[in-house]
Amino acid sequence: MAGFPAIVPASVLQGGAKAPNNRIHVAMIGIGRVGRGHLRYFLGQDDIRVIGLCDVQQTVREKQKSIVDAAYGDNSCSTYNDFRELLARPDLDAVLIAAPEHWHPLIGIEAARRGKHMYYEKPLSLTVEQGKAVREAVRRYGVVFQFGTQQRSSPFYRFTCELVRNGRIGQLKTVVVGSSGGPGKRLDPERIDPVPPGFDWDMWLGPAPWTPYSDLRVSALWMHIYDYGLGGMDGAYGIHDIDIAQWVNDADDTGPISVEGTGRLHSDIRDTVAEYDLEYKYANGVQLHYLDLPAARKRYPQFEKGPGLAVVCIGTEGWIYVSRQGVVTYPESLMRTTIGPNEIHVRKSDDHHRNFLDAIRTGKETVSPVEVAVRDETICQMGDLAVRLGRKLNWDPVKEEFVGDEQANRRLSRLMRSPWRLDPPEMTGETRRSS
Amino acid sequence: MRTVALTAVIFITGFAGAAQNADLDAALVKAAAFEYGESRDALYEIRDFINVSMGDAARLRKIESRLAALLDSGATIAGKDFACRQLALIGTEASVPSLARLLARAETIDMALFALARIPGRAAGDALATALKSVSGKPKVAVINAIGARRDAKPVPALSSLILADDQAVATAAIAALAEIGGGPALSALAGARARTKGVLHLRASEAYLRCAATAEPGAALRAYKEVLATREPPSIHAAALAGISARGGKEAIPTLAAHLGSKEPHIQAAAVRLLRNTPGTETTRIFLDQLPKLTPAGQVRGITALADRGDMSARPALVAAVEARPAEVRAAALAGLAKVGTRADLSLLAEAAATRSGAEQAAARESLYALRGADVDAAIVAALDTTTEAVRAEYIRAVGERAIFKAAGTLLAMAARDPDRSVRREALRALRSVGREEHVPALLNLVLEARGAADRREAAQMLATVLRRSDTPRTEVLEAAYNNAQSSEARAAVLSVMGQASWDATLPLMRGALKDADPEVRRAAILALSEWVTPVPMPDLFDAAKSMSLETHRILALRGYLRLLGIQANRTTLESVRLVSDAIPLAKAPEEKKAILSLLTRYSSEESLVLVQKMLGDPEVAAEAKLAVEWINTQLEFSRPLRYKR
Repeated sequence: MAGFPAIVPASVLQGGAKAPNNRIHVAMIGIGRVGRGHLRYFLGQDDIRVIGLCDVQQTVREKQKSIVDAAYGDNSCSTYNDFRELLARPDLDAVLIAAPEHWHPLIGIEAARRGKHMYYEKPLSLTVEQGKAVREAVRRYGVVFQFGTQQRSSPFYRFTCELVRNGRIGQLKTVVVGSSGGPGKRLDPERIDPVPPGFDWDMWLGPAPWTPYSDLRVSALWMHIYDYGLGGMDGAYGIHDIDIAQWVNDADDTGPISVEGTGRLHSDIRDTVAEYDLEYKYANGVQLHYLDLPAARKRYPQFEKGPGLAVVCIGTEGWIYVSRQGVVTYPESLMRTTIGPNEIHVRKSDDHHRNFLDAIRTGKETVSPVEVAVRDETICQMGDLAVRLGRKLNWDPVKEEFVGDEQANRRLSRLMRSPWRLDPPEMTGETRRSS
Repeated sequence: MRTVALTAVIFITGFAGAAQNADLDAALVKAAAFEYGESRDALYEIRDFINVSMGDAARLRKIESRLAALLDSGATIAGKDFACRQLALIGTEASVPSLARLLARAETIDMALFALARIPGRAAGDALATALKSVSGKPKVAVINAIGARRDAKPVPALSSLILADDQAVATAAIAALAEIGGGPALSALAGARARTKGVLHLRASEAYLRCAATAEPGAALRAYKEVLATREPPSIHAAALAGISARGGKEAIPTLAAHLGSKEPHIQAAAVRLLRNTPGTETTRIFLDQLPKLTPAGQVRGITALADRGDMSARPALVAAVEARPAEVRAAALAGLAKVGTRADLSLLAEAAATRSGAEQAAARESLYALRGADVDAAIVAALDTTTEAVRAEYIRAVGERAIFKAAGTLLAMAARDPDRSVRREALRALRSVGREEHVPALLNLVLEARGAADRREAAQMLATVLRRSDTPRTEVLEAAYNNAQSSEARAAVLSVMGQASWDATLPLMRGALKDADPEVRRAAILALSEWVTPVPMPDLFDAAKSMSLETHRILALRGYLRLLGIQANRTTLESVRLVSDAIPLAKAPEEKKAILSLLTRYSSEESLVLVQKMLGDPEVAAEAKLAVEWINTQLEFSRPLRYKR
């Protein structure tokens, strides 16, 4: 029986708080810059045990394992090159998905079919089809899903949302999102480099089209390469504030009905949208104006209220500027408003990870569930396609497709490089590097 | 870029006359010779040309023919890859023959499928069906995946025949493709697959069967879900079958879901709870209530949470009873749930629990006390303020503040002034931050000036500042008069503290005078008050004080205040912020201030802040922190530097 406790899923015994077998067993998939931040959080929680780390870079795996081992005082944390091997562990309860963006849907779907709960870093997917497939899998297998749009667990954004939803700025007319992007320098062409030792390049590419390795490609800008992400207007920040636009507009289960505007694509190794100025319309009459921050600063004086990326909610009787640094309102007295218990309240969370863990234990829905993720993602995808197609696009938020537009609808999906597909194939052993 | 003899191939049909067409022709020649790692300028020219041509069908057809010609030429693999990506967006049946020819080679099959999977019409589907017969191994998997992505029902028989293929990768791909295609024939094929397979293939077939059922007509779908539920399968499969039954079965699904509420398998039990939670009707609530006592503790937590989320008030007695249940997690869930289904009658229960329990139970009780809805709840809380024990009363006072019950302000003022219990006075002062109003300012000021001891005075000052900040018009004259009339250093210091927290710039002249006061306690209080300012406006005052105050303790306090205000969001560039931090470096003598400076430099990460941090690496008192700061700034700068992956 010596090894028995290690294979008992914590979910079997959930109920107590700190007994070893009552801990939620968590693993990390993708332990780069973002994943490392999550790992630090989990290591600080006594009702969690990090039991596995997965990354396609051996040096990264080993370094982070040493940190986990030091935190726990043992060497029980296992490492994996292939997420499928990790997700097959019966003693695993939940995963944090922070791999490069083109991997997110496959890992999420595999996690769902294995019955693992997931904290899912943004963005949801590279296409609308992929996002819908994730939603379908999460619902089918009934796993807990927390999207990495953690601003929903910030009191600044919650306060803003409740002010708007309770009519404190009158009728909401426009939400302005000033986000990542804008004019910038052109990068030098990439140089093809040898693959570093211990770096499984084929696995890093996974479902993305094949291309030779280069250092530049796997540096911090991969999320601005269309094969791996949609850039600043999506996973490289934009989706955070789009999420808030949806939240304040009480549109979590729907979305805009049209988008039009202008933009410019990067033209170096990056090929995502660089600059953008997009207007979306909702069926309820609310307008969403989604711009890169430099453009937003030119158009809306409220963006002088803070240094960074922000959302401005404009109503018939006032406006609210909200960013991660705080809230500014007009009239200023709105800041001193209290939302009473008999008014409209949105789901309360002050800690996005804790909200996820609570949802695993209680069955309560998370503050950023999968439907929210799909709708947020769709807005980013709509904007990207409006720039690429250079025309107004009409969207049916019920059917989740463009209205009468074959060219746009064709871009709602992308075939993956074989053997990958949304329902990931079985592992063959070629990618196994576990320890 | 290598030279290739492509020109003749690509210029088969020209765009006569237009300069941009000539540019396109040149770009296509370059694209045909493109190698990975070279400039992509020509590729982007073509991409942009296509994007601006999207409304012009004739022009798109011409571009398409050029791209197809490129595929048939001796173009590089990278060039063909680019062409396939464009054809995925604009290709028609006209491109299919050229794309189909690429299916024969391992290095081009994926790029061709990338396009063929998205080109509408029969030709692309037929090309894939033909390829399916001629390839094997990995290429066969690739073709099957593309067929699945097209969701074309025609290849269902061909895919069905592959379910029992010797190559397991081919078989699982066929199963996945059938699920993707969906519909009645695919569902029948997958039903057969379930019956004829074992192990991994059977698991995959069952998953695909459930997925496919979602696309079938309701009767067939329900039969499929029930069939899976009746057979021996892993819990995740049964949970998925339950989800299907719930989605398609309507009210008829309730008995099936209810039967699984008590499942020993947590995944299935959790699924049953979740699905029933979303099923409206009192019948569902009754099922929950009947089953609740029989569930495991973890199941009870989920059941109670679901009952509360349903908002059905008939669940209230069960939750009230569970407040005394075991273990603690169940009690906490019940206390939390009362926020949704509790009433005024539960106030004393919640307040008592908030006062006497700990951890998650206490937190849940408080949250419910603050969130309980109902027109009569506030009045009941106010009525309870003076009728209970100190600990419970303190909880009610907290609730007054959290719920912003303004009509309780008078009662709280009296409590803050006269209650003998220190904790009650403290809670009253804290609650007054929420419910104190402008008309209460004189009385609130008295609470500051006549506070019983330093702790009460500190609380009272914070409370008054909060109320003043909420005021529409600055009441500087009230504070200035209080300061000038104050009889003791402590009272003047308290008023200064209020001024600091209120942060009205109009009081700065008085504050500056206080910095020069003969009484060192007043000078100290002025420094502390300026340090509490909510904007960076007094930074110059504090910087001067940090340089020139006669007492070292005052200089240190001023420097700390300066550094604190420097961390407040301000309308200045990162470079300006770094310069302001740099100014403070010579004044920092102790490790604490040096660490604060390092912290600020990481906050204002830039090449300039990195230089300053690197200089501090040699300071043994903060070398370790400086090293961490260097690492942090480097990480932050990854996004703005010329990008290179670090090996």
